[in-house]
Parts: sequence; structure tokens; C-alpha cells
Amino acid sequence: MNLEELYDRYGEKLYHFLVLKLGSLENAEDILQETFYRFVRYSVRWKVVKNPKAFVFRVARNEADRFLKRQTSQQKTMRSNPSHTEGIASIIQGPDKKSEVLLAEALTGLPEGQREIIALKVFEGMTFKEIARICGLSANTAASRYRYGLSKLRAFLEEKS
Amino acid sequence: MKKETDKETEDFLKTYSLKPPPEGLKEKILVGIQHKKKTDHVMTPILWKAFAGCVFLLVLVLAVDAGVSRMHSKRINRMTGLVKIPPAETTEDWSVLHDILWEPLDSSQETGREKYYAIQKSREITTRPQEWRESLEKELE
Repeated sequence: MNLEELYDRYGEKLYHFLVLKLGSLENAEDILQETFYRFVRYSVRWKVVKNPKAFVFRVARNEADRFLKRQTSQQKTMRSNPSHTEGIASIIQGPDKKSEVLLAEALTGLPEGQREIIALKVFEGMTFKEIARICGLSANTAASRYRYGLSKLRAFLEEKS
Repeated sequence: MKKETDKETEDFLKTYSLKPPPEGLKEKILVGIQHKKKTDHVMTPILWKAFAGCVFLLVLVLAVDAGVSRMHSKRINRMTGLVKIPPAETTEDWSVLHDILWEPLDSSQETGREKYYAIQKSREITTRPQEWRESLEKELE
């Protein structure tokens, strides 16, 4: 699998995942580039990789986590950061602009661990087993984080409506 | 917008989709990677020089070590060669025992024994005890 083929297969999905995780289009682009650069630099042998989708998401997630660690001096959570809400709102497509922003606000308000699981489950249609592999968790933990996230989203949306 | 269950919330979320990434992102990423690949070398020239220096030093140390150990082993062999020489107590003990157990030697035997010691002194100590004993016996007879 060459780089272009790899990008065609996973580039867009990774980009969405990274925007939802980081809340910033610019950072997501940087991390996406860094992720693909890693595949080139370490000459990944794709025939050996059992689940390429989970693998690329895991690499992207690790890269994003490294990026977040480097920013420890800055805000750790994305709450009350309007630029992150804007970033997420810019990739969500809903019935109207208002609902897009509302959902972006709801997602931004979630802890990062819950938000990334919701992104993978709802928008990428992954199973808890796949999510667990990507996030380095057990499937049960992934499922419980997902439910906590959903209930927080529900509470937020009900409060706002 | 009241949602009672997780399923309802999930279904609600699924009514949203994600917009495609901005135009030209693919090219931007791929070009960026090619550029980074060219500029970001794992081994810089300084690191290569340091690596070559380390390899040279390693080879030098190994060569010196091999030479020293060869010299040392030669020396040890020489020393162990001396150690391998049969101990003298066999003949000495034999002559002492002869003195103790047998009658005192007569003048001819005395001469023989002196002769034996003279021979032994002048000889390289390489003969085996049995041979010494035989030759001594012959001389004493």
C-alpha cells in the first residue's frame, strides 16, 4: 500500500477523528501529516498488520496524545474554548447551523476520552472491540465511557433545548 | 428534543454527518510529507562522523585486545610449560629413601650418586621419572 492509496483509504476518516479529538482544524492537519509521515518513516509492512484500520487510528491517536501532552502548559480540557467549538462545528453537517454549533458545544464539553469514543462509534461506525484496540482499553470500559458520554450529551442538549 | 435512552441519543447523533475535509488537503499532506522526508534525516552528518569515529575506536580496541591476549597466552604457555616439568621429588625421594631403607652406599655407589647429581644438574629437566630412575639405577650398579 503506497502513501496515496493509504490516504485515500483512511485520510478523511482520520482527519475527522482528529478534528473531533483536538477541536482544531490546523492541529488536526498537522497531526494527520505527522501520522502519515510516521508510516513512511518506519516503512510499515502492511501485509503484517492484522487490522490496518485500527492500526492507523491508533497511530493517529497516539500522535494526537503526544501533541496534547506537549501542550500541558495550555488548557488541558477543551471546555469553554470557543475556538475548539468552532473547529468541531466546521466539520459537522446538520439540519441547520444552530444545531451544528449546539452539537459541537455538547461534544466540546465532554471529556476527551468520552468524546473520542463517541466520534469513533457514531461517526466511524466502529465496534467497541475496535475502539478498545485503538484506545488501549477493554471493550467494557469503551462501552461504559460511550454511555457516560451519551448521557452527558443528552443532558446538555436537553438543557439547551 | 427530549431523548430518554442512549439509543435515541445515538440515533439523533447519526442524523448528523461530517463534512469532507477542505479541498487540497490530500496534496498538502502528501507534499508536506515528501518535504519532511527530504529535510528530516535521522542521521545528520555530525552523527555519521560520530558513528564512524566510534566504529574506528571499537575496531582499534578489539585489535589491541586481541594482540595483548595473544602475547599473554604465549607467556602463559611458556610458564605452564615449565610447570609441566615433572617434579623432582621422585628422584630426590628415591635417593633419600635409598639412604633410609638400604644400607649406606659404598664408595663406588657414592661416586655413582654424585655422578647422577652432576648429570642431573647439567641435563635439561625434561626426562620422565621412570627414565631417571632407570638411568640412575644403571649408574649406581
